[in-house]
Amino acid sequence: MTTGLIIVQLMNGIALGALYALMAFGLSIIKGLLNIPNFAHGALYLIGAYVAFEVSSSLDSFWLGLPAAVLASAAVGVVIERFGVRRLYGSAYLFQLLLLFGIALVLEQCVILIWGTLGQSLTPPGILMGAVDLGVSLFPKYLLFTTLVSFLVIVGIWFVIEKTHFGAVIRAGLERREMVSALGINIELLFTLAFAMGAGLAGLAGALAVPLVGVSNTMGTDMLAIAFVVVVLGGLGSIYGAIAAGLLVGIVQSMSALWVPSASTVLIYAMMILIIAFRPQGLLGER
Amino acid sequence: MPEAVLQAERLTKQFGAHTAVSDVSFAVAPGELLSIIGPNGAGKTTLFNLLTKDLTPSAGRIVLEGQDVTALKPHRISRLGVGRSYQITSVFQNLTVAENVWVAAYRHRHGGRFDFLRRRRAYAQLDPVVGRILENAGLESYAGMRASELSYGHQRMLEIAITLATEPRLILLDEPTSGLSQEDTRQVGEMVRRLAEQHTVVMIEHKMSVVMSISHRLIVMNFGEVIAEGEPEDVARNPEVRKAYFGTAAGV
Amino acid sequence: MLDNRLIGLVLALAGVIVAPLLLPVANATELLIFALVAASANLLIGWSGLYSFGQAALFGIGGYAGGYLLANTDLALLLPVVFGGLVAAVFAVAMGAMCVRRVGIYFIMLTFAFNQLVYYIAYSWRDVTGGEDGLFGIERPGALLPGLPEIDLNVPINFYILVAVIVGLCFLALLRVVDSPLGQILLAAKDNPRRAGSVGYDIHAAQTLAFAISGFFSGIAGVLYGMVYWIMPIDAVHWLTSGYIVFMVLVGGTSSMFGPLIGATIFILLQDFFSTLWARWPLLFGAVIIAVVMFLRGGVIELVSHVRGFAARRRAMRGEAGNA
Repeated sequence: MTTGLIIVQLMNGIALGALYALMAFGLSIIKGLLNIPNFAHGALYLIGAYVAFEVSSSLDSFWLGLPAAVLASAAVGVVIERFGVRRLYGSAYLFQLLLLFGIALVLEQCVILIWGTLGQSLTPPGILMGAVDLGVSLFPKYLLFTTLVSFLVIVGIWFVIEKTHFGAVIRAGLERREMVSALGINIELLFTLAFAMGAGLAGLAGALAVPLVGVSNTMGTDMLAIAFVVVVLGGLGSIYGAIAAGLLVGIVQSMSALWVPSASTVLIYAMMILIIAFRPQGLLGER
Repeated sequence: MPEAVLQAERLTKQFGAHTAVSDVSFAVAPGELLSIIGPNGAGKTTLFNLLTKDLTPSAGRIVLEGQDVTALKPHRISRLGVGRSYQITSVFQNLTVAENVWVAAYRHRHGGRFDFLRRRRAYAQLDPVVGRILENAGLESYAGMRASELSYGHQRMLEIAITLATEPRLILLDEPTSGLSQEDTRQVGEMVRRLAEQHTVVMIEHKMSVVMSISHRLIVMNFGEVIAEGEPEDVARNPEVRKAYFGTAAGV
Repeated sequence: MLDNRLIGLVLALAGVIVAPLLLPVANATELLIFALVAASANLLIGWSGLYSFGQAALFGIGGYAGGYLLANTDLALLLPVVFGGLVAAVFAVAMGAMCVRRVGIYFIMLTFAFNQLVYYIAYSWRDVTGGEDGLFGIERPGALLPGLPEIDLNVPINFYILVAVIVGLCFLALLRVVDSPLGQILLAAKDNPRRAGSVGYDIHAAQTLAFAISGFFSGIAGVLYGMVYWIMPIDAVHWLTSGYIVFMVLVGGTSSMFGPLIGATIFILLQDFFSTLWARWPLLFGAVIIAVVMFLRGGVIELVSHVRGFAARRRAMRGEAGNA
């Protein structure tokens, strides 16, 4: 095993982890503000992937496919929030859970209806084809691009949340949901925006994943499970914990593929169990 | 001097930058009725939560009959004979009144065993126990009613009945008369006095009429600290206490 | 209360007798099996307030463990069945002990993650589970226990009767559990965990025990499921199955152990109906789930009790009118 290979896998892991972080970050925002477990998050990722694929291949432009995916997922998110979960605020988790489960089921089946069950692949746009020389080895340009976009988006959202007036409202909502409406803020609009933001992040993650893994109708479910693991690992009440945990999971998964390729998925779950056993509040969580 | 039933040693609880309970020490002697008073937000309920381990202290020790219990979980503390009632009524809302008491009595009489093979009816010997506790609390005619359907006053009584059903040696009562009418307050006060004849009681209470008439000793808290301690009459004369407490919340 | 239970048992028995007449026997058998899984899930959901989204893991582990013995040994039938239940129970203890330390959404996510852990193990451990293809070659041994006379279980109705007996016994055992002190303690802890702790109960231990019991019966159901089509499909441990189980419990109603039986019946009937209509039946099914959640919160059991309460009030009003 060469150092070059290890470094490439590490970079791979960071790119993968960046996608997980996007997913889990969106889930955390929705969980934090709306207090619901978004079981439709995988389906939103799936929609992002297919829309990106469709637009990119029919218009021959990945640069249009990317924003189209984000908008499509965010739009579906708005619909879900407005006509679905909004009516269930305050009822037991079980109902929200089942509603979102039903929605996920319908969305996944709709994707199959439109695009069929056959997996497809897409090449990255020309400018991102090929590899860059890292000195120790070559590294695909597109993976660098994925990592970069994910981090720029995360930093952008961090900036919005921490430094703007709108962000202050979100932070207030994360700490005390009832306070926000007391401040005279349109909380319904805030919830819709938060859900749209989370959904849009899922769409972005889906779109970025297409040139890496192609599209297939099971990709949403697989991603959802990992995103949940990442959120739990990230920690109680911490939206940024999800980012750290996403990277950790991506790196562990990618590195373990070097030694035990068949068990790398099982390994992340085992890691989750270990961490939860010793740190029930998660990596960055407060007790 | 006989060994203290309960000793708090330099208990401190911090929430972030806020210190809710600061360096509080006191001891409770067997058979004593000790009242803790102080303005709202003085840290009294937080102190109770520390004593029963509903909250984990940031620093300090809790000693129960000579045994250090600081590291124990709430249910272990309960099993050592500490019963508590809550200020905000904390009963099992969806259980019947009798079931509320049954759950507590079963825990005490049968060690909290998770028996899943026998019917509840197999424990018929608990029925008279539950009946007697309900009768003492004046709730016998509501036995089959859901706790959530009880009036507020009756819920307060049920709250105490649950606590007594575990037959604790040390009873912590958090504002047993909170929100009650004058007449009910007098009755509860009388009940606490009778309880104290056979148990060691620590009570948080706002109503000075109750506190002054039945307590053996008082602790006054303000801003998380103990500012005075002593017999009711002495404490009432303490100028610092008058300033902190009687000046703001007298007679509440 | 007692007569309600008696009515429930009589109706359930009637359902067991009628089901193989109205449905293909294999589907009727599946119905009974899912009824058991749903009822055991309700010990967690309805009695403990633990909204587990990982029941399929327990169901699947039991199915693989028992199915492995049935496919690779000549043991008498009840041994693999009990073995499947025990293995699932042991796993449930580990899963429960870990999950009950978290509440709310995190609990749900954790159970879901455990579900996926089991799924991926089943997926990659091909030697034992058959991976994606499922565990093939599951037999239905004729002898129930060593020494007993043999029954030909490959006759569908014989197998159905056997499943009915096993499921029936397990269901009665579950009824006993919810009627026991543990059942009462779980309800109390669901209602007010802090108070249950302060009267001296170790809530996490009680809930972990509930997981174990739920796992045991779900595991038994899993073994039976593997025998229905002589294969343990990997779909049985997929999270969708967990979702379906939650649906069964919720649509039937969580306030009674009979609710999930109704829920499982509704699920199987809908699935059979939709799957003959359209290959994309999960879409229709998802739409039904959405409709149920939006419009029928309390489940069928509460709908029935609402209607009965309404009828009783009508009668009472008429009675008063008559007296006046």
